[in-house]
Amino acid sequence: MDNTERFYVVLAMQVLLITCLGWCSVGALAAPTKIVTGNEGTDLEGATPVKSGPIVSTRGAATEWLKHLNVPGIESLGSLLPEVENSELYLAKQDVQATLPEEQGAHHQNLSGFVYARTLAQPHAATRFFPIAEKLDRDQLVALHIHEALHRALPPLVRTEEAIVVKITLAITSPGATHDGVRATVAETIPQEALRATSGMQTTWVYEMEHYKKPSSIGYKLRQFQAPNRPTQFRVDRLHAIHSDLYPFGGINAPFGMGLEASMFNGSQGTHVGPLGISAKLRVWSYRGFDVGIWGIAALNTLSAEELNNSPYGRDVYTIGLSARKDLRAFYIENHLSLGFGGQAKEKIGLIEYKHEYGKVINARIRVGLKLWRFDLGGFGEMHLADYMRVSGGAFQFDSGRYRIVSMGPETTYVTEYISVSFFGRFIAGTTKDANFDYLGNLMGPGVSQGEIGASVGVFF
Amino acid sequence: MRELGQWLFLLFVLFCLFSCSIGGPIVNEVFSLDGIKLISEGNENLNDAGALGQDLYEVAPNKHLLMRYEEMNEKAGGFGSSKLYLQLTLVEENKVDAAKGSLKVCPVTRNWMLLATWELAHPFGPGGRWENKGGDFDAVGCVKGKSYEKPQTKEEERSLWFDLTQWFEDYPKARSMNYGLILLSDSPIQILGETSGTYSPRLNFSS
Repeated sequence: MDNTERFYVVLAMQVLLITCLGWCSVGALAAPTKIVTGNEGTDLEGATPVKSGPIVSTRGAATEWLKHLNVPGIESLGSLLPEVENSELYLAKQDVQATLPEEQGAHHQNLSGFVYARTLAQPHAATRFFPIAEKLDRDQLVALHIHEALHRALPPLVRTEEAIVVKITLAITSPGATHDGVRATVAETIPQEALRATSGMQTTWVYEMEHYKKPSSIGYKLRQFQAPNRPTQFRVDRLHAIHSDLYPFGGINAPFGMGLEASMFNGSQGTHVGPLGISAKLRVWSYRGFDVGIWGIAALNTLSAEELNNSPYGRDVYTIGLSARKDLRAFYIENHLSLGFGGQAKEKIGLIEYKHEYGKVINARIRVGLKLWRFDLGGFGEMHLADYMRVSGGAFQFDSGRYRIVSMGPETTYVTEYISVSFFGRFIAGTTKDANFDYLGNLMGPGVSQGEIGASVGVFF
Repeated sequence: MRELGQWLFLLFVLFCLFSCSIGGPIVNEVFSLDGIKLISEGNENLNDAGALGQDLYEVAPNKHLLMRYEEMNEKAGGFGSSKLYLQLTLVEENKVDAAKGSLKVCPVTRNWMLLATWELAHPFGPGGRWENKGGDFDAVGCVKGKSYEKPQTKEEERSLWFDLTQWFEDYPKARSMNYGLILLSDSPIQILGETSGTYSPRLNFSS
């Protein structure tokens, strides 16, 4: 090889070396660039919205689970459910290693250090899933949805505290999770200053909890009436009733259904079949946290025993009503207003047929009580305002005119999600025209005599 | 002239008979009492089955018999100036003279119903209690019974009739008040009840 040939070879090698050095420097310049948003930027390429698949279906499962636990009713978790439900979901095209400090937990990365998902710790941010997340099973994806949403839903002071978020995630997703358990975990893990810092904040989403998780019920009630304080022609000592209320129609928070109630009574005439109650009930619910319901009841005496049909109580009673209840953490209050329509019953005594006529009755009742653990301890006060009670037959006539009955009584109820057991009493506090509950002629409603004590048990489903 | 007078007399007789048969007072109308209740001292059972609907009742100093014809007010206007008699038939034949001295019928002054007891005229409200236990009545208006002068049957031999014309004038006609009557006795006397077919307690309107 002469000098000229040697020169061209050296020149070519230098050009090749410079070129190689140039390619390497470009690659070095292109690698990890800091992005203002705080992400490393390596995962931004190729994120596409997720519309179907296990990531979407498990979000639905996570939503149902949170509703089952009634999580929106827990302080500091009020926006968790909407964050899970409404967060936009994206799927990155490639996996990334967990490099951020907040991704060092088991909910963010697998054993190989790849990240499952990311989100910004602020409300309404999107959730970005990585391909490795699709290998998780259903329960793990549900937990991942909830975990990421907690980063957005918790108070600002704690939403980036991985230990707190993990604890709450575990409390929610553990197999034996309960509403009370989650509430207790939140109370012990979130510092008070974090709670106080959120007291003035408002979120754009206000999710109302499902009020009527199990509106349907069946149950039994026993009512023992007081001995009358005056001679009475048709004494009723005790009433047994079983009911079945089903709500197959309507929405989650506005169930509509019908009920049946059958009864038997013991008294001076022995034991006989009592009235049959047929009811239609609609639970109407509002954003202000009130439970509002309307209902109509027909107590049909025509289906009762002959002894009851030939008595002052042998009439069909029709009633419509409206109730509004507010449940707070420590107590409840309920207003109840109803209208009972008038009617008449006929009774044959000897050769004379007497007619008992009942005017319409307006009933107003207030119930209040404390909520201690699973017990509701309270009472009620109510007033019945009636148009009249008339008795006529042959040459005899009696007209009470307008009268009122004021009564009150205690109520104690043990209630869980599935059952309730209650004890109650009703006693006359004052009347006009020497009236008592016999004047109302409504055996299944306010009952008879001077009042009653009773107990009931019910199962919800 | 004689023939004319006979024809006029015949016309007069026919006129009297015709005018008496339309629009005139009812003659011998009989009504069986349908509201009868025995009230006994110490018995406050409103539904005592033995106190009404019986074929006989024993009236005594501690047992009074409330009686009423329930539709009296509806019928009162149609009787004009009729006389009114109450007929009661005794169970025992040999008690007629004793009954004439013991029994008396008095106007009741408080409304009552078939749930009445010794203490209650009716069970509704404070106004249902008798002011006087055993029944409130007008003692001035009480009448005693008389026996039939010419009894037609064996039952009439032991029946008494009570003149209630004044009561009828003072209460049902004058005040439209039909509170009925109460039968009192100084000694135990049994009378036939409302389930007796022909001799139940009854009212007789006659002119």
